[in-house]
Amino acid sequence: MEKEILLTTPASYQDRGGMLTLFPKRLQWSVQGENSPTIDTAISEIKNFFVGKQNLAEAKFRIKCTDNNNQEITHTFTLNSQSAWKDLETIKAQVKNKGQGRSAAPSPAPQRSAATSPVHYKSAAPSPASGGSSPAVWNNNKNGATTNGRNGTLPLRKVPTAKEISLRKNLLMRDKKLADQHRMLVVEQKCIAEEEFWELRKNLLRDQDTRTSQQKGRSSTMPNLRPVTEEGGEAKINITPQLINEIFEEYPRVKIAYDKNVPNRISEEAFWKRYVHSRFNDRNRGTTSVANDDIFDKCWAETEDDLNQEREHGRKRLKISNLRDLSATSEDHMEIDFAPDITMRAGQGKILSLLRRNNRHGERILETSCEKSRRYMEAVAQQQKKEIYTEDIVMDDLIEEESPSTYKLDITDQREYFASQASEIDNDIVMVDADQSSIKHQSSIEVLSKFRDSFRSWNPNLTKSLFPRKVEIPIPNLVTKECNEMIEDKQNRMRESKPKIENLPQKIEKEINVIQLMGNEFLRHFWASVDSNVKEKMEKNKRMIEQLRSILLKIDHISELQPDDDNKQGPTLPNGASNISINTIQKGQRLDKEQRSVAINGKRLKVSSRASSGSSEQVSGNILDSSDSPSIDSEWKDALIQAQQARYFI
Amino acid sequence: MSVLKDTATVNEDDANLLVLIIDTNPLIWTRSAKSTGLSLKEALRHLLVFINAHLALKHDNEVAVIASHVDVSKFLFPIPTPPRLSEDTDQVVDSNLYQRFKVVNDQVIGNMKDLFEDITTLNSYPDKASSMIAGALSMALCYINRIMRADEIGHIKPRILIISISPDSPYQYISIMNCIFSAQKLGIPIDVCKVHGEDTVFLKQAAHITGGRYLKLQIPQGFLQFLMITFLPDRFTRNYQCLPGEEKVDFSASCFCHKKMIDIGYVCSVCLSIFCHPLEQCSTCRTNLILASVNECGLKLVNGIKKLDKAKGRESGGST
Repeated sequence: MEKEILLTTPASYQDRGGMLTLFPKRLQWSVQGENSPTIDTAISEIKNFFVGKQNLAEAKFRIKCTDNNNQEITHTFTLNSQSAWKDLETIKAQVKNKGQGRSAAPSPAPQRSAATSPVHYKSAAPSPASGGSSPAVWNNNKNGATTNGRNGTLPLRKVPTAKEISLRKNLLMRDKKLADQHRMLVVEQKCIAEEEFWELRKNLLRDQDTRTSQQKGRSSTMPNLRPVTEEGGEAKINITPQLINEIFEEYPRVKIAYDKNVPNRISEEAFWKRYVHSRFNDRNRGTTSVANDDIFDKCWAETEDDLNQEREHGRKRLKISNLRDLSATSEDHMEIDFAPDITMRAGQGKILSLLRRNNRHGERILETSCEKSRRYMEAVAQQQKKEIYTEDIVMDDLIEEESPSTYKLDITDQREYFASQASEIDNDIVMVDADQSSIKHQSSIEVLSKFRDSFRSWNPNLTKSLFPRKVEIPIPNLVTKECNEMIEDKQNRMRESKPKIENLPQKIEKEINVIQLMGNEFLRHFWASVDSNVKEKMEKNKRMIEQLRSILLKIDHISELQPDDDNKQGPTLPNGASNISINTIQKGQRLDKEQRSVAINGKRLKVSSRASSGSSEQVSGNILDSSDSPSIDSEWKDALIQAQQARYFI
Repeated sequence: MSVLKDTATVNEDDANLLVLIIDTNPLIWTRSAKSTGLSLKEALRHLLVFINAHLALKHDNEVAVIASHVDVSKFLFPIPTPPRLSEDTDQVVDSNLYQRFKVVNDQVIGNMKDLFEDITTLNSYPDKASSMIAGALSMALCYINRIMRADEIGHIKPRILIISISPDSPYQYISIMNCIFSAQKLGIPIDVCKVHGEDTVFLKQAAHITGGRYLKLQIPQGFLQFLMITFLPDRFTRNYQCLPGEEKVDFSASCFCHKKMIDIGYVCSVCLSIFCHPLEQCSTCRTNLILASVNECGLKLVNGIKKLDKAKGRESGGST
């Protein structure tokens, strides 16, 4: 960790006094007396570094860097110490140095990759172990850890832990959409607290945690030195320490040859040059190299021998498990004569050895991934001079299956079950009948027999007109009118159901997005806290209701559409939280209805504009026959509909 | 042999099979006659004209009529052995009526009269306010299936029209839903015409899911005209027409215990019953539920609906 402080000097920032601290990789500034830094930036993030003029009284410098949201910020610091200019030089040197790599820093930063290996060719690619692939993420991690570590003796901030913070940061960096939401809701609008935001997204954090804590296994590619053709047509080969390790592991003979030869007989560079040119390196590619090389020819032959001899010598680490040894059951097959396979003999043919090599490589990779399980077990078993067979000889198919413990869907009594409603219907009938008072005292049997009797002698006369004659408006006209209205509604709804968000003016679109986002978030919190008896949640619920109300107001504001007054009369606050929720729901439903009524009016959107002091104008289609508010054009109309829709969703 | 023929694509010259399900609950029709003036007799005259119109549209159009009565559903047309047809035809000879219309009309009326003869079983049936919509729907689907199998070239396009009058019967809910989903799978639209009373939620959903139309009759005297405008167009024509009918569907769930519309429900993980309050034991399938998350929220589990009602009664009693 970078606990090493290079420099601490009093410095002011935005006319506030504080301490500037320079770490090998970070620059921090904190207000006087506070522990957590107000400004904390990785030196690698600093893009520009401006130093004030030397002849001025104050030693000023300005840095331009990117913050967590990838936005550029400029900070200007003024150094106040005696040795201000000297300090400034130190900072400047440190900032400049970051360009040439970490090694140039006054105090050596941890170097894990290149320096550890004796070989240092043109190792342009960072080795995977150094974790340099995503510097931003790592820096943030360290940031969280550092602040925490530094505060070791001081009281820690309650929640969240450094780990949580880094998880959140990583998650936000990975998920752009979430980051947008977070920025909008927490940073810009400040409508909910950071903790509340994450409270609802615990599952995401958990996923992220598992994702990051998973370790990457070993790469399955065979170590091979391949030339990379560069721009100038030159072929280059990058040899990284990682690769060298892999080669040594894969071909122990190369390791032996290396140990024998390298510092004494030939240089390291020469060794690898010869390796690249030798047949050995090309062995897996089927091509033959030209040059003969005594070291690697020997290696080659020995490696082949190793592979081929393996069987005869017995692998040193284990005897072949009886479960896999084909000869183990030979006693059971006395009558059949097994001859050893001559085609698969070791040392014959190129393809065979290639196959064998690949198999061996595959085995090694598998072993590294499940090192602890199988190999460990086998090793233990071998130590005890016996193998564990039970696990392998039990056949799943032969085990009697336990019937899964399921519940039978046993509906006890459907009638009783719905009894409450059935009785309501019965009551309903009685009540209606009582209202009609004509069949009040008739029992159902009377009604039924009357019904039957009236049908007995009935024969439909289809020649008689079906419509009653003596009516003011003829029935067919009424029906046609009714049907026309229904069809018109339907058509209007179809036409207006999908206003396109692209048509909105940009400003309004943005506003609507924000409101929609906020509304959704509040609703999430609302439903997460509704119906709870925990005190905090109840309070939160109340808060959310207020917030939702304000959202509704905002929607009204956006659309400039003010429906009836009762919309604004919020329900009087009752005591219980559940009551409130019911009220809000009712309110929501009422709003829905209002919204519908507007939508049903279809083409006629009633708009009361503020300029005309409450007088309403009729907007028909896209034409507006009012001179009061000339800005309402077709785009505006779409915006209104969009706003309506937004409310509908909320 | 492909059992399921392509029922979804419709051609212009396809024959249409209309299965008409008429709700014949005498009690509710009596009430309807009192309040709106539309009695079953009157409605039947409209319906017969409608059926004849359907048959007249195309020479190979087919019709089936099913009565959904109080505790039974019965085929009115066609039935295998027409019982009283011979004597009727002897009595009334109407030379002005197309023979096919007459057969249908006589059978429907005759069989309906038979249906009303039996009043004792009906009277003893407890749930008099309902009708056997689920049974009638099943019969309709079976009949359609039979016709479709017989029709080898897939020429017949079926649809179902329900003339509904009685309210939803909650305990038919599951069977109705099963019918709806079968119809959806077979691609059979279910149209619904609600003649009297409140909207039926089940049938509204049926129309919505199967792509049929739901119409609530506003002007009872114009029954026929509504039928003609809304339900007469065949399945091919429908693709091009904007016909009246509601499209808004209420999908909100109601709890199984009190039938209240709820916003937050507790669903049994075994049988998917919905309750308005978490229960220790599901009242439908008697599964013992362990609700850790509910406990976290600080809610109490209640053992059984009756206890729940009692507890609620106590609460309200205490607070007032």
